[in-house]
Amino acid sequence: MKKKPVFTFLQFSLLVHSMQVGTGILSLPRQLAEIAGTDGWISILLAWGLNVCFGIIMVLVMQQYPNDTLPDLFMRLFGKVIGRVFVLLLVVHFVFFSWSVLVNAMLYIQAWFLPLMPMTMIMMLFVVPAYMMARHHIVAIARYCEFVFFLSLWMGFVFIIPLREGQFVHMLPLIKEGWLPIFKAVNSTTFSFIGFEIIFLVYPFLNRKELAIPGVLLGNTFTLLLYLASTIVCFVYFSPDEITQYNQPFLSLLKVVEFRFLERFDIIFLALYLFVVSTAWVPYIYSAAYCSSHLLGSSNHSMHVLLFSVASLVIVTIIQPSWNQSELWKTWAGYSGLMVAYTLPVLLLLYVKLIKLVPRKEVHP
Amino acid sequence: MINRWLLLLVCLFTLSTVSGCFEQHSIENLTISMLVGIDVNENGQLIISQSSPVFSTEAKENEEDYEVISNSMRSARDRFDTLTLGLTSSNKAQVILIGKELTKVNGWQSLIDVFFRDSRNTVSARMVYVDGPVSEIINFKPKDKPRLPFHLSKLIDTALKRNDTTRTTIQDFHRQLHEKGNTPSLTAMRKEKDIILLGTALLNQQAGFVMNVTPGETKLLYILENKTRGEFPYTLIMPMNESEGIINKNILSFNMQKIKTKIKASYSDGKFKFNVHIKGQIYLTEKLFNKGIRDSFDELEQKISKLMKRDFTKLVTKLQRAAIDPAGFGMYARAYAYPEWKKAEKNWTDAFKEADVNVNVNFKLIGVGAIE
Repeated sequence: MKKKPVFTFLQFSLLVHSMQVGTGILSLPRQLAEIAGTDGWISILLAWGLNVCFGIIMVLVMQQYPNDTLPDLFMRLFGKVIGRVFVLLLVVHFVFFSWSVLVNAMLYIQAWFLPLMPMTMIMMLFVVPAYMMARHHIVAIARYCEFVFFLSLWMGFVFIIPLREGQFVHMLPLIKEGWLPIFKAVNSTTFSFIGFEIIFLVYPFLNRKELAIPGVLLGNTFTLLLYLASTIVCFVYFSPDEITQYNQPFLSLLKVVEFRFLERFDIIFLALYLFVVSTAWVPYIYSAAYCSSHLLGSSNHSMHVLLFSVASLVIVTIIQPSWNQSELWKTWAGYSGLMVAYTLPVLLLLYVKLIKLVPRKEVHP
Repeated sequence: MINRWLLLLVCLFTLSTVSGCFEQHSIENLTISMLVGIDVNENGQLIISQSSPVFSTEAKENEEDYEVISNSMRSARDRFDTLTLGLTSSNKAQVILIGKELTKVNGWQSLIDVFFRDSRNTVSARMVYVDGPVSEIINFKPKDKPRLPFHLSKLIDTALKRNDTTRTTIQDFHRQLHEKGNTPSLTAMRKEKDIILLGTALLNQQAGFVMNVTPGETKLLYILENKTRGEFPYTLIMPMNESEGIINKNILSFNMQKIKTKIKASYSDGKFKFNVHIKGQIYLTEKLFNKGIRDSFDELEQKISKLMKRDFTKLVTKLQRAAIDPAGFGMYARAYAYPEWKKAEKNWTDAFKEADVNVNVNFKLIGVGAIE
């Protein structure tokens, strides 16, 4: 008998972490500064707390039926027809999110170092490796995420270099305009923190299920530390009056990093950072393909991955996405993430608790 | 098996695109402007000039200089392309020279937009204020110096080690322009027989030139900004009542080290108040007066602190009178008196003019050198 593939606690938390971290980080400092000024980093802390809560709710839902992934659960709870409608919505979310991450990354690459390269070419370079990864089981993908995480740990040290030119006085006073802007800015972090809905799909494969909640906590904390460090460095380096001028403050910051032997460090960084972004889109494409193959009742999702890859190539060639469109899709992806990662787990938890109550009442009237 | 071949084919196809040869330029076909000059001529036209190295062995000169009349940086590049052999690219620019006349033009600072918008451009070129026409410097070809861009950047970078001048990159300049709590400052340079550094050129919030400060004052400015890297040699004229002939016997020179500046701001009686605390250590390096030090160690220490306080206060008063804030007191006003700052931020330099700045200097005399 074939053993069911499982993954470890660390792989689980790193999968959650790497799905969250994508291209959002590059513009996050600006988005926060636009609303909350240099207090924006507090919003990240709040967002972290919020996301951990919702992550835990997801785990609580999945605990009820520990061998079901979300599509299985939908089928079990709502029957074949309504269940399929739900799965379809899930597919739409995952497809759309993968698409918007891919397009976003492609536009970064095009804008920052390959301005004349056709979009189709760049997209091709993305989707071919993505296809090769995403057609495998999620356990293999989780191992890839773990590998990339350790491979890219050094990137954290780069933050320290611009710090010595920074002015910590930019951060003061704390809570300038009261708490309201800080709460409002939490909204801007949605796109950057979405990704933990992968818990819905991977919970059955976790080898020690009692560690699911610490795993969610750890994964989110990695993300928190990364975002906090990058945002604070940007706030300290750039003037609060200036930072909103940069579309991607994080890349503008890296542009300043220079060594005696190396200029334009941002280009090297962004190229290597693609590995980190790929650990976001690969699991997303997997999720989309997994859900859609489930929808059609086939057990092999690799054809769906291929379909997605080819389709995205064709669509990029036809549409030729602009920054404006990409920003719009990002906002939409944020909304669909809001539905799937925040609304859905709460509703599911309530529903699951409810149906567990109902039969009991029937037995003991 | 077919799958594997298909995969291989796809991989090969992908590889063919990896080289990214869509925008390759070989170095022979490039004119790399290492030095960019921006100035206004007598007729009130914008002049963009550039100096770039020549790699040809046949050419006698090792650099080429061009000047064009233009309206903006990018349209100047188009003009350069019609002049030079290669494609002009300024993404390796080392120094940007800003002419004296240019700083009198309102809104000249918008010219630097291209360095930020086009991500291929560098943002770490040094911005230099030229006290005089830029063309004097661009056309300067001394026999005993390396190529001009390296000459200039080396001049600035080494002077910075002893904090005789300011180094403001385009990125820094951008920050200084947009930060409401300070005013920009640039390296100041003039062509006499050689090219000399004048210290720091201070600009107002609209990037108009206000005044130059000497290398000595630049050091004080750096200390006020809490940028205390490098050496801080300083010379004081002590009240020792010695003769002041060709050799001023009252002179005392020393190095300041481990300097820490703390600025606290508050607001009361309709004014911003700043308390500046400067702490540091002093090593004597030169003393021309006869009075010994061993028995008046503490006295000397206090005297130096007092005279330094006088110099700092003098500088701050000078800045206030000129309504400029290169040291960035406004950032402390924002940090410690936010509600009042919010009202004053639009015209910060006016508020700074009225502010009370109280400087306290506390230097510790660590060493007096090897002789009495």
